[in-house]
Amino acid sequence: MMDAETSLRATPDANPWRWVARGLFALLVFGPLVALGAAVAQGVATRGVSALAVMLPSARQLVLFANSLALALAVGASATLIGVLCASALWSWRSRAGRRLRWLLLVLVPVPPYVHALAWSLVGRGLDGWLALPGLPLDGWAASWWVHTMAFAPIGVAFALVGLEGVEPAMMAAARLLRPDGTSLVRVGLPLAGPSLAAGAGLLVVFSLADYSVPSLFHVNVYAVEIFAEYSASNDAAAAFLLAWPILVIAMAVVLASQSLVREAAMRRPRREQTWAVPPRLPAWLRWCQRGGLFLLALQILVPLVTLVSLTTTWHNFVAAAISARQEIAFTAWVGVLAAAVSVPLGLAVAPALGSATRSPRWWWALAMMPLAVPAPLVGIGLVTIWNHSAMPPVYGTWLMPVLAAIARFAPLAAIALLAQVRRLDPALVDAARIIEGSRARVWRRIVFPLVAPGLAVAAVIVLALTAGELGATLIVAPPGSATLTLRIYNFLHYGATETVGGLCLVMTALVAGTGALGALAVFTGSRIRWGGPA
Amino acid sequence: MIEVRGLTKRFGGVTAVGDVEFTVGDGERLALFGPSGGGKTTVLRLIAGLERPDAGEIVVDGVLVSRKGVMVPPHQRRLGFVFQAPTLWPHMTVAQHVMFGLNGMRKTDANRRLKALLARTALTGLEARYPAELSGGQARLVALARTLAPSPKHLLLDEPLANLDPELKERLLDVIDETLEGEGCSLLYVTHEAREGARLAARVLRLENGRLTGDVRPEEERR
Repeated sequence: MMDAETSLRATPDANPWRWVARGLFALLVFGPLVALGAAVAQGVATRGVSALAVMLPSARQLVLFANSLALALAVGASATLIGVLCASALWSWRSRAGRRLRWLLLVLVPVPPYVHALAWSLVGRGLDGWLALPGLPLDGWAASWWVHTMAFAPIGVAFALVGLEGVEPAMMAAARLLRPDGTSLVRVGLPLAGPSLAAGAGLLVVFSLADYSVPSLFHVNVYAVEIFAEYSASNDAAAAFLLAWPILVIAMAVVLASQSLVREAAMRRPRREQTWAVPPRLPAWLRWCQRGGLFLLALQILVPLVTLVSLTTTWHNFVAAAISARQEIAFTAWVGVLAAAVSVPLGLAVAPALGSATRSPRWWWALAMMPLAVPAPLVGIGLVTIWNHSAMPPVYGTWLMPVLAAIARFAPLAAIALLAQVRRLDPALVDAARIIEGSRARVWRRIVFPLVAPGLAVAAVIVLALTAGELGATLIVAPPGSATLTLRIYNFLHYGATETVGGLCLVMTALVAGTGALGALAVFTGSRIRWGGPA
Repeated sequence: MIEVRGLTKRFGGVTAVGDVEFTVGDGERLALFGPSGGGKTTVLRLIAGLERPDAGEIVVDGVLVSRKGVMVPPHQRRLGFVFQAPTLWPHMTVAQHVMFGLNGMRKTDANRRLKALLARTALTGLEARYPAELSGGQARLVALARTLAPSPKHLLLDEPLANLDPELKERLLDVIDETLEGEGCSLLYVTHEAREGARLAARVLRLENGRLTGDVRPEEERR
């Protein structure tokens, strides 16, 4: 069997269509950023350096940024802690069914944070009315922190679990022979998973820093909303871009620092041996902490589901809400399917470059990871800057704009998801098929496609689910008279929680969770194939 | 003494180890040799407490440590285990590796033990190095020193010299030999090369398809 690097090097790159696809990927993903950069350059050319004055934040903006950063750091710390506790418990699940089912705990990852905000604010009000707890934070920073923590906790769990699963079983065994399991976990397991935990914590900080939907629902001003407000007030794309520099700097640093870790995780082959063939014996305090973490993870799933079901009250209301939003649901599905249909082939073209040992994958990685650091409103503003121009085809104000926004935001994630699959494709299998079957197309259809199909399904599901919940960019680019489901919910949320909002949120949760479950099914189906080439 | 009685382990429908019985006396050196996939590593992992047996039992120094329903945790068995790969923790220095197993010892005693072990395994001067800064041979010696730190009564070595060139292998076998002599612990050495087993052990058992198929005379193998 060829090793990883050889395998990727051997993947033929002579196909000119692949390079066309990569060019298109770069254009669609980086076009908005390039447009914003050009707008800044144009501003400097016409107005001189005074155009950059907006980069100097006012005292109010400085305080706002400090508060937003504090919130994001607190969310990063708490969600990572929950992640570590849950993942260390889930890590030792040994049965095959249990090992698969634990990933289903993360099914609500793509549910937009504002759905959690609605659910938790209802729970908070209920608790307040029922127990009359003094000082229960129903609004403000504390409420925003709690809801962000709950909404992002599964991401913390996912990163921690990926990190712990990456620890070589023999490393843990060597520690277990010398010290109790609790010490081995703390002194060996967690430090070895450290890079993954740090990357997860960093991304959580970025996500919290860039999200304004939750704070705005709890009547908190955060720095991210300044970007949106600046653009709404001045319609000046360059000013909005320049105003975002503190968030961009932090986000870029985090994302670029964690790129090697994400690359390593995506390129890791699945392990066949188990770390915990004999279950760990952990001290009672640690077991209780793990239970606490799992309890919070269960709350993270159950509170939105139960609250939304009880808010919707009847099946009839759910159906009525779904029917009333049928246009938005259809539009959301249409946007998601189109975004996936474009993102997945482009991602498939880029994925081998991400893993290539010979063509400096660092550049491709920087390109693939950078969009994750760009606040969603900036992507929307960049798209408007490109397409709201007389020289461009009439795309602005059409349904294509949300599709382009989704591609710009999520095509890189499709490429990263596909890397894991492409990485496992042994080129010897393709070469063997080529000797027998001359047609490149037929080899692709009969050999390559079945082997990468689970990855294609997972990538499509990721794009679909994330597009369904996308708010920041869609809010700016949605065409007049059309709205995605998430836009309709977000607008309704500002008028308070009604059974219609509950029903719509439930529809959204069902759509996203259903799509996520399809992805999980694709992964399980794919995992039945024994990777690594000829047996 | 390690007593292995009727030990059986299955993975799915495959019997990796079937009804294996042997003993390793105090201070005795025994080698298990056989082809790859024969169940040698599984036997060691069962003895160390890293796998549960499906049948049979393991007794270490008169204490029942493994049987269906009985599992003494690995760190309480007073066994040392060196894996095929050095399995050094990349975030710890050589000294930290050795000190990891010296928990509960007074600091001065622990430092004394550290110095003695490093001297014995020819690692003096490398205390502050991280695994990435060690050669393959040095890494294997660190793994040995780490294992010996808490003074195990019995040492399990799972092909610790695999993939090394013959010259280095010979040199490390000498170091292991001298270290075992100094530490006075018994040895269960797993290898797929009978010669290598015979070089260290007084008794060599052959394990094939999970079953013991007979003794090999070490003196014949040494020739």
